[in-house]
Amino acid sequence: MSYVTNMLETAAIIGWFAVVLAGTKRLDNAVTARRTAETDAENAATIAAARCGNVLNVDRLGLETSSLPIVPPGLGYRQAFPAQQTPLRHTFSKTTNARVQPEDLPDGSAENVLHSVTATRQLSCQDIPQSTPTPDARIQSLRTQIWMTNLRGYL
Amino acid sequence: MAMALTFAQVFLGALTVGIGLSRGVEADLAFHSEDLTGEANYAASRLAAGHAHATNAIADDNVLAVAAMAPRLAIEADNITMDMNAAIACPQPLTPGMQEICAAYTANKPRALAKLGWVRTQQTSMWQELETLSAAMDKVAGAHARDDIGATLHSLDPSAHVRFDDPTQLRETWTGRSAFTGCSLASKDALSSPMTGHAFPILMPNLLAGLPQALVAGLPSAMCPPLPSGAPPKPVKLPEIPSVMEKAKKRCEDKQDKQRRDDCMDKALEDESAAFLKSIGLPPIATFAMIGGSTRAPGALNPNISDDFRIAATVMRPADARSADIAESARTLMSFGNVETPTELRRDVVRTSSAKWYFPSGAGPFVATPPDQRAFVAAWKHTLTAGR
Repeated sequence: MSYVTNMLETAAIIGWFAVVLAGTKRLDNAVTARRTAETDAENAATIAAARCGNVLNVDRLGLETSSLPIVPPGLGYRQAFPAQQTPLRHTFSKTTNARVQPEDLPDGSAENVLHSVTATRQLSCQDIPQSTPTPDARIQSLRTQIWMTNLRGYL
Repeated sequence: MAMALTFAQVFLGALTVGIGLSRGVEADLAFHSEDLTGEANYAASRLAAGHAHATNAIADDNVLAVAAMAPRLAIEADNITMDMNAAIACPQPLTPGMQEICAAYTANKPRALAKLGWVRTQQTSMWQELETLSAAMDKVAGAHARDDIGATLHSLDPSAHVRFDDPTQLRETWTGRSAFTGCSLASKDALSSPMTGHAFPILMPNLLAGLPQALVAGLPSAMCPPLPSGAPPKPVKLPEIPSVMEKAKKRCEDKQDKQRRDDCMDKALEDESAAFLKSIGLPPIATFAMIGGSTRAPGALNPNISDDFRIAATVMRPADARSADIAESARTLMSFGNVETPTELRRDVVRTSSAKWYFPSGAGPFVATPPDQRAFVAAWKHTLTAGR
């Protein structure tokens, strides 16, 4: 009897360790999967923000057309305020780390289960030089518009 | 023996359960910290992007202001030159050519004055509006970004709180001291263009060759204050105007000692400049009223190393309540109830991220910053951590 009890106790202790090892491995897998997803999402957001690709949305700075002053003749609105009209851009990255793992079911069969972890990041892009999307705003070109349209000549 | 094994089993069981729970809580707390860091990075980058965008917009406003000032300087100079020609020619109707100049002046002065009135009105109203806009823009952009960040974070993480260290909320980070710089750039632009002296000989011959150019070079000193609004005005000196320089030199030619001669020239230039400005109808001291406002420049001498162009965003939130429950239970279990209930997991975890925007060229007057060297956000990923 004592022998059987000892065997059972020993088996229980070994079983404990088996459960602990399996649990630790499962936790490790989960942490590693999420860590990978988080790191990839952060890297992706950093790269996207530097290149200003993968744009999530645009934001007009809160300075819409109606809040801007009227610019004198010769300088149209589009030429006068390129910076105010160029929207801010923000990037968004989302990465998923997924793998299929066979898991035992209560009835003794096994089933493939999809484990996935998703991570997201947002960052704002670098501001693009304002001359890029609109007519360039150099002094000479703007002055030329004022001068040629309104002031040149006295006849 | 069996009893010993049972105790060992219970002990190992408690130990392993405690270790497992602690590891799980530890991983959860690590990701909680990472979440907050990501949110702080987003908040800092978003706010800095808003400010950089506003900064670029102010740079554009400055360029626009300079573009409007150049024609004004040229037309002011042409009108003054016309007046001075008339002052020479009209009293000498019998001298050959003078009557023709006087007649041309009388016939054409009204249209020259009309252009002067138009360009003055447009330039002053434009500078006034642009200064108002530029003065408000950075603050508006900051407020808008802070609202936007608050709304975004609330939707992602309702229990997180965000706090900003934003210099635009505390002080003026921009000043209006760059009017003289703007006018000087406009002067250079006008001098190298066909605008200066354009009235001659279209309207009338010019007896004073080179005067329009000298006036365009000197008018920034006469019209554009070199100091911020509110500072005591400085007397104007116009060494660029030949007649002013000649008279000043004549007054000081008897001074042999260099120091005395320099002092005399300083005073003589002030006096002769004031007399010259009075003769052409301009006040002796430049005021912002004459030009409507000012271009805007950073208040700091070197904005690239100034705190004025740097913000920080702090996001805080306590750890998940269930994780705290588990951690506290595990600790109580592992100590067999001999430890006080820890409270640190109930406090806010705080993460701060800072960001700055700067002018890559770092050289030259701000108002002349080329379009491809405007401010942009950088170093937003530089993260500081505070608290736990």
